[in-house]
Amino acid sequence: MEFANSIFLWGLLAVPLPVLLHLFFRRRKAKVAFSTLQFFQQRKRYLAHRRRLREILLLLIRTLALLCLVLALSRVLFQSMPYALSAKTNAVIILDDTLSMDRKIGSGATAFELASQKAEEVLDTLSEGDGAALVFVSGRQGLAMTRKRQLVRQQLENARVTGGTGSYSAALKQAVSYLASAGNPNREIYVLSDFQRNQAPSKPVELDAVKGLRIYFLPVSGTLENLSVENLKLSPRPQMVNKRLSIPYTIRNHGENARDTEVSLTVGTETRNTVTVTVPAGEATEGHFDYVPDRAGFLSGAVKITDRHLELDNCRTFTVNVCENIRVLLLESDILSRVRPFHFLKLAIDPGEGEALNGIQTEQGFVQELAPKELEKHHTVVMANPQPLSTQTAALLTHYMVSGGTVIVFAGTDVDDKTFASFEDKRLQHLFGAKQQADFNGLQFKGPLNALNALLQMDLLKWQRIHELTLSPSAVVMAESRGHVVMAEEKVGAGSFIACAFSCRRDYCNWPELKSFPIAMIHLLTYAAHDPQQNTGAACGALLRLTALSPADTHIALSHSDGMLFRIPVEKGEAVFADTWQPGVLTAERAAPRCIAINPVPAESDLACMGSGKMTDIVAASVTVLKTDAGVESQIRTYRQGSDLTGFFLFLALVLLLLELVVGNTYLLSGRRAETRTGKEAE
Amino acid sequence: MSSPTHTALLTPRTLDTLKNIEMVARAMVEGTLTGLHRSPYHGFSSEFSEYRKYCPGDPVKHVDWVAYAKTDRYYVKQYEDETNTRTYVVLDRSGSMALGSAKSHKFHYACYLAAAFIYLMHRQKDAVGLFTYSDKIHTYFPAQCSRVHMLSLLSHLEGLVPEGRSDAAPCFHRIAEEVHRRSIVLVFSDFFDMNSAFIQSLRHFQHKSCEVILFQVLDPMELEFPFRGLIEFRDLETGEILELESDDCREAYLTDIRRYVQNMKQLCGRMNMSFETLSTGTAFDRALLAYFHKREKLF
Repeated sequence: MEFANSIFLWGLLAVPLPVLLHLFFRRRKAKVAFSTLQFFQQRKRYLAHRRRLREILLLLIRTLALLCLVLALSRVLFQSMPYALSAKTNAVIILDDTLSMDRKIGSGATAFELASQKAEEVLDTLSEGDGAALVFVSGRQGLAMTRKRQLVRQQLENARVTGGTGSYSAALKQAVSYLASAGNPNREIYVLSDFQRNQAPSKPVELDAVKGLRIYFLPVSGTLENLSVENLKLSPRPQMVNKRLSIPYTIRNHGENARDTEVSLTVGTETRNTVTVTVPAGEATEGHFDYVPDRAGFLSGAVKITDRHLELDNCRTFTVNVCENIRVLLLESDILSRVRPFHFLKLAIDPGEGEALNGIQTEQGFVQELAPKELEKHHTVVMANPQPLSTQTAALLTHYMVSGGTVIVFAGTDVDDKTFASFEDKRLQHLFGAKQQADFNGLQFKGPLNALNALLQMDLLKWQRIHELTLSPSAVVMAESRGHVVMAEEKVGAGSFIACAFSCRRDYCNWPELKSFPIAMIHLLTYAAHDPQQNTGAACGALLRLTALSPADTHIALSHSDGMLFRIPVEKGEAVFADTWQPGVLTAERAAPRCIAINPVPAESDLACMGSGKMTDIVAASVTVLKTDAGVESQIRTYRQGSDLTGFFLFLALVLLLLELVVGNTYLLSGRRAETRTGKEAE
Repeated sequence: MSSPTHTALLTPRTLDTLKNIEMVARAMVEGTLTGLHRSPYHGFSSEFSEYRKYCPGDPVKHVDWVAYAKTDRYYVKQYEDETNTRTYVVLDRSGSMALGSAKSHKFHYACYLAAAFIYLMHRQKDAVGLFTYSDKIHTYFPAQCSRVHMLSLLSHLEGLVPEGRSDAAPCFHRIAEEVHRRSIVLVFSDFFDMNSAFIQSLRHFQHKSCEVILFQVLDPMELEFPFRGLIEFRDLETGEILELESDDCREAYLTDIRRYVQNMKQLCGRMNMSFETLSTGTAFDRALLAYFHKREKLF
């Protein structure tokens, strides 16, 4: 409770005046012996204690009336939360800059623009010496507590809606940390947001206790209608020149009305295809574009729709690394061996020297010389009769597989259950068992290679030896013979490990001599091929880690599809890029990955908002919800000062004075009416 | 309270006032002594009453021969006996009678009146008795007409002190049983205990054909209620204390007490009894004179 005109509080000294006057002029009672009291018994209402009660009541009324008058003059301000009017204030503005704030509001502006305007109004309520800070819900760098409000204004003017999502919890905690370190006694947090339902925390945010903290929510509402393009799921397999590239898309309608929209495919800067689709309310429509790249290299494009309600999620970008051939690395493990383990395999898949007649280009390497960069260049790694792997090699291969690569291992005479013991994945450690004698013919393809059964005659295949494969329940059998699994795939991360229970030479079976072998191997390698440079892109707000191509590089140059250029310092060969707030395509020079599609966070496209009850549950503290359609400045000043109770106290004083007139009127209460009646009767 | 002597009670001025007053009973009373009061038994005294026809058995000496000579019929003369009557003074000595100033409170005033009546009756050669009561009968003097008796009554009055609670009804019943039929009963009280039992007790007197004269002695305080401001009233009989705003309740009190006195008067009128309210502010002899003048008009 505060007093706007505290000088009038001196008037409180006059409040006991009625009591003092009463005591000063108090009447002394006379004692009289009387014959009988029977005539008074019927007149109880004239008893002195009744009059005394009335006097006390009058005294109370007069005292209260004086008190109310003094309080009214003092302008009592009732505050639900403490706020020292004479002290300085620190205010933190939490501005929601997530994707959903790009929604249109009634005036045609975006919710973010309105929120920024309201934030400036909040700043206007601060006076000289007050501190202000700016925190973005998306997690983007804001502004720490400062007394230079102009800096905050500039930051607000430069702020843009991001394509990312955000966390109220993190923003509130950031705000509290700003306030806790500041000295002013009045502490305020303003959250300007659309309070999107998807952003609601699972439980109320517990804030550190900050004395005198007031939290204001300013909800900015807008349209709930929205169409969005969901993330494009391009195939992770290598995309080849002159081969059809399928670009599947999904258009989701988050609104309550069915909508028609144009969907277009843009490659580079050129629109290649446009279709019109109808998306039912609350549902999604799927489709795909086909595009045939005519040259190798990185290709970037986008699928766009036309939706005026929220424009930032109308476009999803993609990047594709178009290759000339599938690059296969044939890894040998024994440098000194004179045996050429890949002789038959190379003849089968890449018979020419560098001509890649089958669209597969092989390169040979040694396990001992294996490097990450070498692995990233190849779509598949093949090992034949490997020696037991070192831990380092196992780790490299694991990383390669986790990031999407495929390792194909052909067994051999040196392979046993200890060959892959250095893998951390227990499924792979003992995948290969002991070799066994085999005396049977034929092979049946399964799973992804099942189509080959109709194409190839496999009964000519004669088995002499075969390794036993110990598979996990999740393993996919790709081929078997007489109940023996001869080819199986274990998924490892985004990639896989394909184990072949036979050698790719003639020492286990006669398959390498058969005509079916090259066809089966080409299919196998094509199936296994994965483009390690192909990336699915990143969500707005995510940290990007870029690897410099040369250790000598100190900076990495990045260009954004909207024209912005960035120069990122490199530390230990790696650069971290955090300014991924705007959707588009980032292209790096002399860094990997080279092209990255930055897309909005899909969850932000659903514009449904929290109700007022749910809104206040965001934080485990008392929250005041301000009205957007009214002047924020006046509301804040009212809440700071509290409710002015002058009118109430004046009214109360008036009522008390009227009551005093009624109670104090002896004509009404003392029984002198009887005198009047007697007079009339006498007449 | 100072004890009044009989000379104090009957001042020369008072006696001088009473000298020319004759108290005549309203109704004929039965008496053994010849006096001013008319006897219901027609005798043969000096005052002629009426004629009646002679009946066999009447003494021949009472036959009026003159009337026989004129009318040729036998008539017997009847005479009205003037006999002494019994008068009982009933004095309320309850605590409520102590209201008033120390020198002159209601009880003193009632004592003066009683003494005056005792003297008056003695002068008329009427037998006088005395009862004093509050919630019970304290003293009882049978009616006699000797001077010594009168002096002893006056002496007794001198020594009385008002105290105790008032409950007239049982006392009156008892007194009514003691008094002779057709007696005069003079009651001096403030009569603040009027209730149905009290009325019944008065009817008891009526039943014995007594002439009852009620003197209600009130103090000017009771009649005028001159109090101002906050007053703590103490009941003289019960000791009960009541704090009142006298200004607030004056009118209501005065209305109530007037109505009470009026009701008493009406009640007594219905029972053929005399009721007189006397204020102690008025000199008691003047009140007595006024009473007798009033009585004289009735006869």
